[in-house]
Amino acid sequence: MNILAFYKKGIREASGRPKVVLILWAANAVFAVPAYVLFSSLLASALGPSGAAAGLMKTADMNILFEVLTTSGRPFGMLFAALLVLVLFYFLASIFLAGGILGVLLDGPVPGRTGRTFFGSGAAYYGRFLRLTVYSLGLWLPAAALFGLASAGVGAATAGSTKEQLSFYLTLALAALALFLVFLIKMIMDYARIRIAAEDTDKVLPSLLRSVRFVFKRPGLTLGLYYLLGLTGLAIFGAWRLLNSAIPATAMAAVLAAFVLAQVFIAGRGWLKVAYQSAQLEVSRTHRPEGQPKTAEATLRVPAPQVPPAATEDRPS
Amino acid sequence: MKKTVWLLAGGILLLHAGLAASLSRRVVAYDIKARLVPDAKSVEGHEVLTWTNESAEPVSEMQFHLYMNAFKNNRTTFMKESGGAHRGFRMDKENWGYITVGSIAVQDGPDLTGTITYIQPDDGNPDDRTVMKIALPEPVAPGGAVTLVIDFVTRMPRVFARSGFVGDFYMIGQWFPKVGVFWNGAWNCHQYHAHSEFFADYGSFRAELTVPDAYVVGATGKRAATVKNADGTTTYTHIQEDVHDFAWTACPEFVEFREPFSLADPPVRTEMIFLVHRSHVGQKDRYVRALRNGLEFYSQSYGPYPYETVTLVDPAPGAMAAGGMEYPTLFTADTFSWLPRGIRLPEMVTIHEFGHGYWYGIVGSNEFEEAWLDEGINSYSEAKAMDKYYGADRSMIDFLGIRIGDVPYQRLNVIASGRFDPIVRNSWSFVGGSSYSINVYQKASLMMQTLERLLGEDVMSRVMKSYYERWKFRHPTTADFVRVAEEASGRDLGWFFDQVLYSPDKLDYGISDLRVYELAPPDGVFNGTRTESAPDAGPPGRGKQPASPDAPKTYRSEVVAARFAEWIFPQEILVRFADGREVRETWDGRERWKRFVYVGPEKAVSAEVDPGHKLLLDVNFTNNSRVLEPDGRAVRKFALGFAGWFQALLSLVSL
Repeated sequence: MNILAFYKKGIREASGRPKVVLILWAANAVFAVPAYVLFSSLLASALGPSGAAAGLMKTADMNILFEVLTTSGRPFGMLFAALLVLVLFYFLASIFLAGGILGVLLDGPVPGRTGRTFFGSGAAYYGRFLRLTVYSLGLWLPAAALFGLASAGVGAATAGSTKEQLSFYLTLALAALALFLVFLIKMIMDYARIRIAAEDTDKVLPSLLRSVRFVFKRPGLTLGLYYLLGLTGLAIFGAWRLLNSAIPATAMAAVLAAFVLAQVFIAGRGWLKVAYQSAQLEVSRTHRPEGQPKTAEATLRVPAPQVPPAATEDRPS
Repeated sequence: MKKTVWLLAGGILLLHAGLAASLSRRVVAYDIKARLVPDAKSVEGHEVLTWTNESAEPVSEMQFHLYMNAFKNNRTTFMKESGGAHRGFRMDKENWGYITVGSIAVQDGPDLTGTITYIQPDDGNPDDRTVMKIALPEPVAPGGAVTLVIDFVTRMPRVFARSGFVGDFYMIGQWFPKVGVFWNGAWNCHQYHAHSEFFADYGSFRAELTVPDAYVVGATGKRAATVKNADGTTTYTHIQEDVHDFAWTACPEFVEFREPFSLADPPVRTEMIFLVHRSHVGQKDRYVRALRNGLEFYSQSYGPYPYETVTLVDPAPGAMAAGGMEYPTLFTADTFSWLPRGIRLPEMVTIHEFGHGYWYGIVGSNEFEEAWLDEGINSYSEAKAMDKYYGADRSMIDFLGIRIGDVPYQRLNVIASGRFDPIVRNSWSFVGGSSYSINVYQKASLMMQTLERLLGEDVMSRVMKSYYERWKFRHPTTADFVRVAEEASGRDLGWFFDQVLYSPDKLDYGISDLRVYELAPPDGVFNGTRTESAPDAGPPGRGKQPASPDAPKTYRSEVVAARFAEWIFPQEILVRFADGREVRETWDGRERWKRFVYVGPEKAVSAEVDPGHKLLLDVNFTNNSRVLEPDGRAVRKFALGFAGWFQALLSLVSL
């Protein structure tokens, strides 16, 4: 199979899992509710009974917005600190969600089991995925060091330079390097999670190391697929912003329409996440782990398409 | 006798013709020969200065600015005040800047080098050598003149606080011994301070600038000659009359563009010269458009641009500390090759710095003592020009859906500022750099915009044109501006200027309360007789029930307008009622609050002070209005939008 085939497979699989996408959206929305409540109460408190609020519905009067930020700077600062904590919790929750997605994908299309499998898998893999996240520091730290070295090199090369384009392009290259490293490690982590779930193994660190080897042995395939899916995500984002810009949010109905559009985008992100996992799972299945015979089906679990399987030790419940 | 009369008449005619050609009273005449020595990062100079005593008293000593000595060591007044940093850039301690006066003598007369002393009129700091004093062999009589010959060497610092070098880029400003201003019977010659700019007398400048052949040169005034020398250098001669300073720049990486500019009304004909660093050539059209806009706006709003050239210098990358500075007929801009068009930094800087050519260059404000006369009036002018050409709601930023105008940006600085300093104060006396800039730039600009909204655009235009016309090529003070404003507007504006210019306080009016009661029918004892409500009016004490459901209701609406800060401004209050009726009230604003009461069949639904937002100095527009039933839609709109972005962030950080 080539990159495009894996991509199509991932997209097809994700499109066939609306319940998973719904769960991902709902989890995201649940975490966003406190942000909405805190922000709206803070803004309402800052505006008070002022008539300026009505004007803000029509135009974003920067005079008023700057005032709100200035006079309520401390509460807004506290809000953003609280939201950072919320982001951290969401990150921890996303470890659970990642397990859920993989569980459902590994379980195959079993009607009526999606929710049970999702949450059961999320719980079953959580400890191992959390350990994996901690172990991933072993990848993040060298990556940070590499980036630091590159950054220092660029700094030395451009210090006192009057060649602005050179500085600009080197800075762009640095940003590209940072993104590349982030995506690379995220991708390795994806494969490691797939391996842990598929093999239902407790050997987290070896799984991570084998995933590193797996990715580095076929960088064209793994990176190509990852970036193709990334481009899809970029297209979804672009479509959201484009459609959003066409909505003149000067009436409540338009505001709600824009909000619904945002929710569609968030659901699209969830859908893409499933597509990532599904396509990469397929890559893992097609390119068997090293040392395993190609016929050893048991090594990587494959979906049991029709018959609901009985609970076994290597399957989360 | 007849011959004498003819000679006298001829003399008067000649004098008149001379004055008519001259835009200013030329107190100084500089003739400078300067050679750039790139290896030494220095300029070797030979200056012949003729100074005319325009005062009514003899002058026996002279004072000079040696500005470059501000960067001589870490004990100078500039470095102490700034902590070695200016506008976010730090002084490079490997490249101090200084000026050494090798000799000074009266032309064909005695050497005065031995009389040199360094004085510190502002702070007595003995380590500061930015003001030099010499004793003259004999006093210069009123109307008389003295010609001095000065040899000096200026070592340029690595670009810092407007001047210096980066690589082979040189911005050479405040670089020669510049005589102070003999004003009101004394020398006005302040030290170079961290938060101050300059003040000098008008006159004529001629400079021969010699640089290695590869260098492209720009300078104050028009180019009179270019001579290639045998030693691999080129000498450029620049001449300009009726200016009070001379600056120049040199860099082999400059690309020079020249474009004519003309205007029919008022008549303007000048040449725009752009020295754009090779890295920024892609931004050239932004500079060109902005300078055209500036020339048109300032010429039409205040008076025709009077010089034959205007030169825009685009500093080299890494030399931003030289950007955003004005000199007569020449200014430095700022940009980056990658800067998106929606971020209008080069436009704003170009219009602003060009505008200084009016309020520092043509109107010779004393920036040491009353910096707002330049910075404040120019920030006001810049905001008007930016709003006119780029749109009021997006004149600063129009990028990725974010739109910010120049005026809200200026106002943001003022509302967030403290109450430490008034606008009018010696530049070095402000509590800090941000207090200086907020007061003399933004607060003064908002003052001017508030004044314009109070007087009306036409009257304000008259004020500004009168001020410019009366004080061009002269040295005005704050009192002169106030006088012109009162004369041109025909109004007593003392109440306004006394508060805003001389008090550090703030302006904040608002509506502190809006209440509506339903008036109950009469109930109780009136004139000894018990009067009862109708049977269905409810129990005593709950008299708010109407006598009958069909009976017309009467409401008592109370609006309390309040003064939350110190400045006292007359207020207009707009009250709206449920039936759409509007009532406008006036209040002198003196007391801390004033209540307005309305009794009638309709409730007051909203009240607002300063409904037209004329008073841009008001630091809180949010409290200006109050509604009976707050409109929560905007809150929901922003909160939903925020929640959407937060969700997007969450989806990004998730595994």
